[in-house]
Parts: sequence; C-alpha cells; structure tokens
Amino acid sequence: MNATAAEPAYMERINRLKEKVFETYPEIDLEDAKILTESFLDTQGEALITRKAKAFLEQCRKKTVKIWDDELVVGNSGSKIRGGILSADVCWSVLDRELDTINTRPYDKFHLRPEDRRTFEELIRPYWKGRSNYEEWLARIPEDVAALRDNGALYIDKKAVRGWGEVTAGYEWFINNGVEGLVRRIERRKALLDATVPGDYEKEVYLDALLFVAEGLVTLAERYAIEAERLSVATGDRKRKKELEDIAAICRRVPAKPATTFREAVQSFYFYQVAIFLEQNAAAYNPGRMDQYLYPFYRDDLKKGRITPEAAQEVLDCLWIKFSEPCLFQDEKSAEYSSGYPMFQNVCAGGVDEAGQDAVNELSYMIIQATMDTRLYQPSLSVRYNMAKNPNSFLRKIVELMKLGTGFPAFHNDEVGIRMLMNKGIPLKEALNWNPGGCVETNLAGKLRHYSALADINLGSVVEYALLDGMCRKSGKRAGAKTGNPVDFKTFDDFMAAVKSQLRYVIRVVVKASHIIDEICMNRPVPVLSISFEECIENALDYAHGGAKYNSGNGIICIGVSDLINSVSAVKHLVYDTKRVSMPQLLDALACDFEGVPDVLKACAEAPKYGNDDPRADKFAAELFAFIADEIEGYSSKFGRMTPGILPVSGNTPFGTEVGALPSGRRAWKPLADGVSPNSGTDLNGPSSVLKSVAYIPHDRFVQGTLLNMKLAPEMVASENGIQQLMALLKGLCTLGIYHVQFNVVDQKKLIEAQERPEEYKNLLVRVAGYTAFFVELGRDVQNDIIARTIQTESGAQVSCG
Amino acid sequence: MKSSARGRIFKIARYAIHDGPGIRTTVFMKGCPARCLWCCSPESQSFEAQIVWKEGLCSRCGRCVRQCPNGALSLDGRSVIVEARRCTICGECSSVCPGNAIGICGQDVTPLELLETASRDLPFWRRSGGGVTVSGGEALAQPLFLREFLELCRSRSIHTAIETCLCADRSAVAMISELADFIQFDIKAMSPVLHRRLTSVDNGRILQNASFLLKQNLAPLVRFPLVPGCNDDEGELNALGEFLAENGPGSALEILPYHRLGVGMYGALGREYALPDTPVPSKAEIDRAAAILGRYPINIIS
Repeated sequence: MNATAAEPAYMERINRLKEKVFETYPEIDLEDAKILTESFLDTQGEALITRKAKAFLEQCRKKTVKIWDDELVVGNSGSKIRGGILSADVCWSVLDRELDTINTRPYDKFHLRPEDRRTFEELIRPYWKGRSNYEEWLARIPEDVAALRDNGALYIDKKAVRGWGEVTAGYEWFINNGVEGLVRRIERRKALLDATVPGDYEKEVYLDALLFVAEGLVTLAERYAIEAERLSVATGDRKRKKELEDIAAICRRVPAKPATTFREAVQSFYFYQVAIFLEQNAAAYNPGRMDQYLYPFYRDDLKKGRITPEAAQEVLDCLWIKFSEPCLFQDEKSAEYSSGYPMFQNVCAGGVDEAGQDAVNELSYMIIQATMDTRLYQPSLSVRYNMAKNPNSFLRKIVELMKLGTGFPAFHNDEVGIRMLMNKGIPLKEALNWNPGGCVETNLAGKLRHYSALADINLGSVVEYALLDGMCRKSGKRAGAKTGNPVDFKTFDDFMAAVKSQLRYVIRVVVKASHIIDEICMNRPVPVLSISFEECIENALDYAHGGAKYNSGNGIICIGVSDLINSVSAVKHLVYDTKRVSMPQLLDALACDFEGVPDVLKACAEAPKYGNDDPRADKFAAELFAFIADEIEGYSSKFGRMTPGILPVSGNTPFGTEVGALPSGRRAWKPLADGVSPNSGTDLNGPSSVLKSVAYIPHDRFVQGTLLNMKLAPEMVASENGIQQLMALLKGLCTLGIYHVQFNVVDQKKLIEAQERPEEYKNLLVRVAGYTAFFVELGRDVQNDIIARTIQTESGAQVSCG
Repeated sequence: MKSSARGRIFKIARYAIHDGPGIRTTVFMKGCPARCLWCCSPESQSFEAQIVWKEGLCSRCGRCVRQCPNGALSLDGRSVIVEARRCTICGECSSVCPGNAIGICGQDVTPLELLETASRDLPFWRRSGGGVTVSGGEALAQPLFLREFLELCRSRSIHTAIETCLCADRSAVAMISELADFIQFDIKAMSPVLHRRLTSVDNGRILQNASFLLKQNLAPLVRFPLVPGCNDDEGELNALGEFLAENGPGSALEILPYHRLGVGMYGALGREYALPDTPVPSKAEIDRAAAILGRYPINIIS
C-alpha cells in the first residue's frame, strides 16, 4: 500500500491537485443563484422554459471562469473550488432556514461569506419568496403523509429540496455530435412545425429554449479558452504555457464540435457535467459507462501516436479530482440521511456491449486505476461484472481496488442489473447498456426519466405500528393503520397480516405523495439536461415533462430490511413456535427497551437471524420482499409503474432514532440495518452465509437497486490465495442472483471499536492457517497484538453510500 | 442413508480459505491424542464436551453462577471458574448468560446431519474448487464417523480435505488415503525425545504414517509449525528435510509460523498456557528455516 517509491511520474501533479481539494473548505456559492434571479427579473412574462434557458445563457456569459494551477481538465459550475450551489428556483428557502447554522450543523457544513449572505437577503429571498417548488410541496402535503413523515416512518422531502439528479445524461450522444450537431437536430425539428397546429407553438418555444442552452454551452467553453490563453501569456513556466495553450485549443473546439481526441472527449464531457449541475444542484448526475464512450477516442489516439497510456491515465486522474470538487448542498435533514456532500457521480467500468459480448477494454482498467491513484470520495466508482463474459483479469483488478479499503468499487452483478432495467419496461437490446447510478440505482444513458429514490420507508416503524395498533412509540401518536391489539392475535398468521396491512398502508400513502411531487415537478423544466436526450428534441418535450424515450414511476426505497425480517422471525419463533416469550411479555419488554428483562432480551437476540443462512429467518426475506415488490409495482404514476429499491445511503441511522426497541433484540433508537445487510453483529457464520441469506431477497424486482455492505478483514486478502477466494466469493454472489456488494476493510480503528463494543462486532472473524476465531472472543492481549499488526487504512477517502 | 456412527465436533467454520483448495467449510472434530505445548485450540483436546468461558464477552453479572444447579461455577471477581468435577454439562449457565460468554464446547452429530450443515456453501465451492475440510482436534481419532462422512461426501461429489497430525492407526490413514481428495498433515519434530516432550506422544507411528502417505503419489501437503525455541534448531530442520527428501522428494511443505491467537482460550478453560514467553517467529527466523529446508528437494510454500 506504500507504493510511493514506485509511483509513476504523473502522480506528482495528481498529488498536488488532491492536496488542493483536501485543503479547501466547502463554501456556499451563490453566484449562479444571483445571475439566475437577475435574469428572471429581466424575463418576466416569457414562458418558464424560455426564462430557464435564458438564465442559463446569462450564467454562462457572466459566471466566474477560473483555471487553477496544474489542471488539465477545466471547468467549474460556480465560482468556488468546493462550492455548494443553491437552486434558488427549486428551494431557496432551505438556505433561509439555515443562514445562521449552515456552518455549525452536524453534517456537511458550509462556510457562508457575509457578502453572499447579503446577496441572499437582498436579492434572492425577496424575489423567490412564495415561488419555489419546495414551498409548493409544503403547502400541498396531505395530512396522512405529514403524519407518517413527522412520526419518522417516512422521509419524503428530499426531492423538493434540491434538483432532479438521479439521471444519466446522454453524454456519448453529446460528445459525438457536439453542440453544433445538436443545433442542427433542433433546427431540423423546428422546420417540421406549423404554428397553426395546436401544440406546435409550445414545441417551438421549447426548441428555441434549447437553442439558448446551446449558445450558453459554447459561450462557456469559449470563455475558458480565453482564460487559458490569458494565463499562457502570463506564465513564465514553459511547460505550463504549453499545457495552457493545449487547453485553449481544446476549449475552442469542444463542446461546440464533435470531439476528435481523447482529451477533447474528456473536456467536452466535463463541460456538460458542469453545465447540468449549474442548471440544478442535485445528486447523482451519473457519468455512467465512460470506459465505453471514451474508448474509441483513446484507441484512435493510441493508434495515431497522439497519446500514451500514461498520459491518458493522467488526464483521467485529473478528471477524477474535478469530480471531487463540487459539494452537494442540501438541507440539514437531508444531509443527515445522506451525508458527506454526496455528489454520487457514478462512473462505471465493465459489463457487456450492445451485442451482449465482453465490453472490458484498457480503459476499464484505467478507470479503476484512477480511483486507486486518487483515492477520493468521488467519483462513485462502480463495476458491472458479467460473470459469463468479463475476464478474470478484470475481476482481479476489482479485488485489488477493494483491498485498498476505500469502499470502492461498488460491485454490480451485471445480469441482475440488466434484468432490473427490463423490469422497468426497457427492451433487452437497450437494457444491455444499463449503468449504475447514484448509490446502486439502475439507469440508462440519455433515455430514462424517473426519481430513483423519491421516498424512504422506515420498515422499523412498520413493525412498531403492527405491535402498537398503528401508534408511534416515540411520539405516542397514531400514524399507521389500525390493525388491532397484538395480544388478540391468535396465530402467527394474524400477526403477519397486521404487518402486511401496515406495509400496504404506508406504501399507499407514499404513492399518493409521489403523485403530488410529480405534479409540482412539472414546474421544474431542465432544458440543459434535456438537450442530451435525443427524444426530448424529437418530441420537443422536456425531460421533466416526460420527453425522454422511457419514463418510469418514482422509486420507493425500503430501509430496515433486516430489522423487519428479524422482528417477524423473532415473533414467530418466540411467541408462536417455542412459546418462550408471550406476546404481553414481549410488548412489555419492548415498551421498556428490555430494561430489567435480560431473559427476554436474550431470547430475542437468539431468535433466528437473517444473515446466518438460517431458513427460519430467511424465508421471511423471500415472503415479505416479494409482497413489498407486489404492492409497489401495483401502482402507477402518470410516468409509469412505481419502482421499489433498497438503498439506505445513511438513512438507517436517523430512521433508527425514530424507532423503539424491536422484537429482533435491537435496542431503542439505535441505527437500523443498512441496505440488505444483516443487523450489525448478528451474522455469525462468515461472508458466504451472509450471501446465502441475502439471496432470499428478490433482487431483480427491486429495480432501483439493492445495497449490501460487508466488512473485510485485511488478512482475508493479504495473500494471493485470499485474493483468489474473494474472486470466487464474488462469482458465488453472481450465481446466487445478488445484485450488489461493497466491502469496507476493517482497519485499526474498527478493531479498537470492536474491543470496546464487542456486541456490535460479534461477526468479525480472524483466520490464519488451521485456525479461525471470532475477534471479540480472543483474549485482550491477543486482540492488542492483532490491532498492532493491522494496517491503518490510508487516505481520507470515505464512501458515504450506506 | 442410515447412519450409525455419531461424531463429536466443536466448531464449523465457513469461508475457510487456508484449509485446502478453494473456499472451504472446515469441521473441527473434538478430541486429540496429542498435547502440543503451543496448541492454539485447547478446547479441541478433550474428547468430552466441556464448559468454556470467554473473558472478552463476560460482564461478570454472576447469573450463570446463580443458575448452576450443581454449584460448579464461581466468580472470583475477574473470572468465572468452572469446577469440572461438579459440572454435568447441562448448559443451564449458557441459557441465562446475556452475552453468550459461557457455553458448551462439543456437540454430537451424525454424518448426515453434519453434511447438511457443512454443505450449505455449495454455491461457493462450484466457483472455487472448494469443499469440506475435516480438522480437529484429530480427525482420525473418530475413524468410523469419518469414514461414513467421507463416503457420504464422495457419493455427492463434494471435495474433501483432511487435516491430521497422523497420530492414528494405519487403518485410519489408509482409509483417508482412499476416501479423501486432499490430505494435509503436520510433522512437529523429528527427534523422538523432543517430539515426546513437545507433544506428549511418540512420533514413531506418525513418521511411518507420513512415509506411507508420501509414497502413495497422493500429493499431500506437509505442514511444519515453526515454534521458536522448540523445534527450530538446525538439526531438527535438517532432519525434517532429509525425511521428506527420502520419503517424498518434491513434496510440498508449508511452514506455519507459531502464533498466539489461542492463548485466551486457555483462560476460558481455566488452564495455564505452557509457552507464556515464546515470541512469534520474526520474518528473518522464518526465512532462515525456509533456507535450511530449501537445501532439500522439496517444494516450500510460503
């Protein structure tokens, strides 16, 4: 891991650039909001879409343009290196509430300069007050939705407090056509319109708006070219002078024209990435399959001697640093559910091509190498691993990155990803081109519109409601359905019916709320994003209005999977099967958080648990999650069938604070389990049994993705044999039809925690030849030896996803 | 299949990656004829089930002491003491322990029951060439059970490996040479006197068994636990090299560096550890041993 001696020469530049990111404190950046507001003051009376497009054009004309030292890839959405951008038209009021606390709140702090605060108070707030999407949502939220939200069973505000995101733009189409090519398409489409035909006027207005966007994109790049030229004249450093001249030449060409080289393709891509983030502050603008759409340029450059693999790696690494600069600005509550300024720009390597054949190429390895080189929190690196088609050498490279302990890459089983897309109604031919988005969601570049994680449902609350006749323990108020007093449940089936009724109720309320948010979002067009969606131009219809080729209902996300399974399993086992604990005893124990009833706590803790390959628990994973998928899929929105998913980001912790003690033995207010992972410390048979249990969830039906976190003891991959067996374990995961896994390497800090809180680390295994033991069961001295031997995981890289 | 023999095991470890090819499930049999000074799993030695107390998990609440119907437990402030003479292995202590710090070590199973539990990782064996490893304790000390279990595995095409110290009857060794797919065995010391002092058993039979296996073209893996100050002098290492060169030239030898991971278990059983001051070997010491053994025509695996 200490490879400094062997580091390639280009790492000098990369390390300097990285240092700059680490040293810069995130700041609220209001320049874009200011220009947007001024533009809106000038365009009153015009169509909303025109006003949005003109505001973008103004932003491109006026925004600060800076090129920092050492950069090879340039561009920035705002005026600051690590800026958090405010989408004033979507949610100005989010900042209003936090003007005094934004730099002191517990998660994702931002510095706010006094002059920016003045701009906000004197210009932005007065104009936008009463006009934002978020205010609309707050005014329209129905009572039953608010009841679930305020009693901790539902988190649903996140899409009203920031932009769309959760999308993979048509980057390939954009790079290959250039803005000039898009303009030709728009003009051709415009020529087919007849202003006397109903509807054609709106289309004309829309296409004209796209032309403003096109002008903005070209203007922005030209300004970077001018800046690069200015700097190249000013610098005394000959090497840097040449670099700046190259940057200027590239910015003169792209994105206006189709890219012709690897450097141009990367720069064209990044200008567009900057532009869509500028248009709307949002998480998960996913670059997607960069190893596919950049490869033709790389191959061509290599063949013509224009680039070396090292030079290309340096450019990729520079781009990786750029990905880590912007910081998602979100409200305090959302930051708690998804912390770490989570931009979730998901880049993918691997998978299959449009003919279903191996798509791994040199760039697939270089993309993984870029993350190994930079070890930053962005981009979110994913792999599509296709067991049948991708080579072992690719899997090995994946495991080498896993070993570094950054939590990357997110490993995706390609076949399941393809099936998820098909279950969203996308034909196989196109589903083959899917890409992971955000955390573990599924997407399709330039073709698909939906909110992949509209709302989170708290499954811990669902259990609680089933045991309290719809009441929330924390607030004492009714938020769920009335399902009766559990003491009267004669059989386990009665209890199960109550759980299902609560699930049915919560899902129904969420669907209703989702439809309201869809309605509000009709006032949130995104012309900059739409311009790379071919069908948005053909249909002359915005992405927000359903212009994309495929549209699907929003995603409803389940949190507390293992808590639900283990609680149902405990009730079955203890109350109805072994009768070790009676229902009144259980209810009393839960009411006092097991205080003074160690026998009940022990019984609950020892009931069959998900994550141990124990069918007594795992069968409920199969039954309940098929039920949940049935329920969610049973509803449609105006865009398509509603979609389920299981990805917690960090929502399992705040959701946990809303839920009292559970029959699973989880104590009150503690975090729930994350994703489809077992509750912490409850899986005791090693990684293979975790996977066996997790396989009971019908992954391919949870089309917005399922997330599995696993811990990896460093010695498990210390040897060649360990690497080989981890590769085999991942193949086993694919065989079992599991969708995703990511590994956290257990470092020194975690081991010390395990010593202090053994109950949470009961599953941590120590293995050497001929010997296996649980870490927490070893003597203190031996534990200290192991701690001393264990490497400190390098770098500050943290994955906030899950 | 009707099972007659019952075996006594004390642990099943899944995703074992050091106990034979691929991803394996390792079954640890209870009971061993040898008493190696450095034994890292003292709970494996007795053929009888016994009570084990784990210091790290214990909150010293005393519930087990109060629960014990035979007055076999006491709490001396820091430790729970088990008086083996009074203990009937009833498990009452375990049933009330909030932290699962006290429990029974040793469980009886039929070959079929064991197979059902031990074969749950089948999906991972397919991808890795793994299977079941029977270890111990001493796997060959329960030969009837082992034979039935290995036959059962073979009938289901499950790859089997055996880890043994070869302190066993020839008939049992011959049995595994036929029924197991992979064998790894230990040689702990060559000098009979030293061997007896370190393990409390003679090595005459062990070396004969080793010679028998080495000459059968089964490609077994020989393992040598390198314990500083016990079996690492040059004479011992040369003797081992000569033995392997003579009986199985080209055979694979893995040096297992002594480790102290099992020390805590001695406390859990209320026993003293025999090598309190022995350090784990340094890399230089391991390299030195490898260099000496490397003079012989054997394949040293690090």
